[in-house]
Amino acid sequence: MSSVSHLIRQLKQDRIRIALTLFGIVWGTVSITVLSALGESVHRALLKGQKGQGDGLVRVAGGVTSRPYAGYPRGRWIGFIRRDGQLIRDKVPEAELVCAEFGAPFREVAWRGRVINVQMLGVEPAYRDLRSCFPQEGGRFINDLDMRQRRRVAFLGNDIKEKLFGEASAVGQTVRIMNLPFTVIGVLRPKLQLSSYFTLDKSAVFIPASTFESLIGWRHVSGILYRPKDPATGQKTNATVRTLLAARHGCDPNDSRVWNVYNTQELVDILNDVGFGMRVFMFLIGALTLIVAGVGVANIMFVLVQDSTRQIGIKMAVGAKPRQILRQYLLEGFALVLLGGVIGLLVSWAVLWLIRQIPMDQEGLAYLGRPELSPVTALTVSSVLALIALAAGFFPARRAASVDPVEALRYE
Amino acid sequence: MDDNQFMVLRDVTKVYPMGDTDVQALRGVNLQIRAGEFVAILGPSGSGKSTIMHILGCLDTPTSGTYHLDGVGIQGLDPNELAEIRNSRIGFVFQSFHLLPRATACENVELPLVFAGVNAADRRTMAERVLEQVGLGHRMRHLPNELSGGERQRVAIARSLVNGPSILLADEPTGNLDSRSGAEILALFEQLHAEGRTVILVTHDESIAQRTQRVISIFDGKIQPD
Ligand SMILES: Nc1ncnc2c1ncn2[C@@H]1O[C@H](COP(=O)(O)OP(=O)(O)OP(=O)(O)O)[C@@H](O)[C@H]1O
Ligand SMILES: [Mg+2]
Repeated sequence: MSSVSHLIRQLKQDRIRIALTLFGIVWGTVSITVLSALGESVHRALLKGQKGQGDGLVRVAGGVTSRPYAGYPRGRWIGFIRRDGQLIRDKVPEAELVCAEFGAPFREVAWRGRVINVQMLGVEPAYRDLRSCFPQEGGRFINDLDMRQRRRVAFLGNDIKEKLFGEASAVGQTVRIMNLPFTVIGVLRPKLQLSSYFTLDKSAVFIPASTFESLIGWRHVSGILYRPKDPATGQKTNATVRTLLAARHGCDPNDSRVWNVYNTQELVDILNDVGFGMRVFMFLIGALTLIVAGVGVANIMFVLVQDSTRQIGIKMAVGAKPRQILRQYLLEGFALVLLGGVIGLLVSWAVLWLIRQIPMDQEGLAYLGRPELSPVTALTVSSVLALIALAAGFFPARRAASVDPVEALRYE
Repeated sequence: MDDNQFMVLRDVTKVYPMGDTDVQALRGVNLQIRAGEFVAILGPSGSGKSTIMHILGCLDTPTSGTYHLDGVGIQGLDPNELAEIRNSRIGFVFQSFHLLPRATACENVELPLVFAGVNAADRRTMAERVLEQVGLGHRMRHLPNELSGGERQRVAIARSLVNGPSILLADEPTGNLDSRSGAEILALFEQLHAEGRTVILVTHDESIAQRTQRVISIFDGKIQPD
């Protein structure tokens, strides 16, 4: 009788008890797997949402000096102009997608009698790639020609388009902004965006920075955006930009009050920490469930050993070594947990598949992301399962191996 | 190796701790059994027969004293080594058969071979051969509860023989059988002894003891002089 056929016999004998134990392992496996996968995908969705604002983006805005510099008193207001952006473009090749930004006063935007109040931004063409503001089919973003000719063109956030036009097509239509006609050149393709300093891109209207300048008459930009080409040397690039602007505006490059820097890489780092913490938490909850199930397996194994003390005695009388008995029960415990684990992984895979079938167009659900059974998750879960299997089998097996055959055979 | 020294017990005692008091099951047993002997251990209930048999069969170890089997002192061996000896050299037969209830006759007989590491096909062949030998060729696939007492004891005997041990130890092997099956089983032991095995039969029945070559009487944990 091999150990496996012995196990099958026991299975037949203790069907209900074993079914319950198996269920425990399956349940534990499913919870640890699904929770880990969800943790992973929420983390991924958070990062994606952050990237919706711009990947590795840096924004410098002006501020008030907090210390005297080169004979100037403190308390001077330093503001940047569009030329500063051009300067960075020319002098700092490590920075890419440099883009000046005016924003974001509320202005009335009207179409066919429908009027809404919208935050309006004046931006340069690089804004498109910097902030992933890609147009929907049939439209485009603000380009160089718009800039040079100060065209009255508008790029609408998808929410704004929805509110003004509903289902109707917007591109090519004329909307009135501040009572002036603007041609709609494009509508934002929906994207997941988590945070912003003005408003989410989907609820803003964008016009060329040059048009904004002449229309509103602001001299200073609200901020200059760019992205360090190499995130690894991003700090150095930022310092170069600061030094350049400081020299031009006559202020201390290390005066932190001047440099209102908004750095999305730092937010990404925070999100990574949060995501990691969440995943560890999910994993621990799942692991706990699995450990409880493991205790169940150990328990049923103890009962099996108890019930088969006489059989163990018989086996020892005919020459089974304690070592062989130990191995047999260890294998049985292992087989039980493994069987549950395999079923659990299959069920998890199915559950995750079902979750992926949920339409994700709702904002809240979007953060669930698309959970998948990643190799890392599968591997971690398998290792935890194997550990639990060993532990759950070991103690009952040790008891089985220490059965005294004389004692076991004494009673009927 | 001197035949006289095949199985040698010297000053063997066995004490079972029982709460406050200890039970003295054996009180200084000296005993020598030659290879190939047919021996009965005779005594009343509680006299220590089974205890002696367990020690002779390496299923239990003495509290004090020594036991040498074929020149090897077993007191220094660990449980795994004792199991090895039981597996290869000793066959046990018990009053209540001690078969695995959910295993067929054939599977029960195969059991010692499982722990000897014999592969499944060889196990099957060997088990079937000994079952034929004890006259159960037609009952191989039966479960113990589908067999008569005499048949069950034959299965147990087949199991004790399957590894080809030279020593057979039987503890009241006919105790649960009617007189006719009992007689058949005894005849089987006589035959197994005739084939050259050392056979030790534990009994409280004098008439059974008389059928062996040598009767060792035991009373209250001590061997009585012949
Ligand atoms: N595990 C044990 N714990 C306590 N006492 C024991 C144990 N095993 C045996 N004894 C005692 O040791 C003595 C000898 O027991 P043993 O089983 O050898 O007797 P026996 O001669 O085989 O008796 P029987 O004919 O009834 O089988 C008895 O008094 C018994 O109660
Ligand atoms: Mg007895």
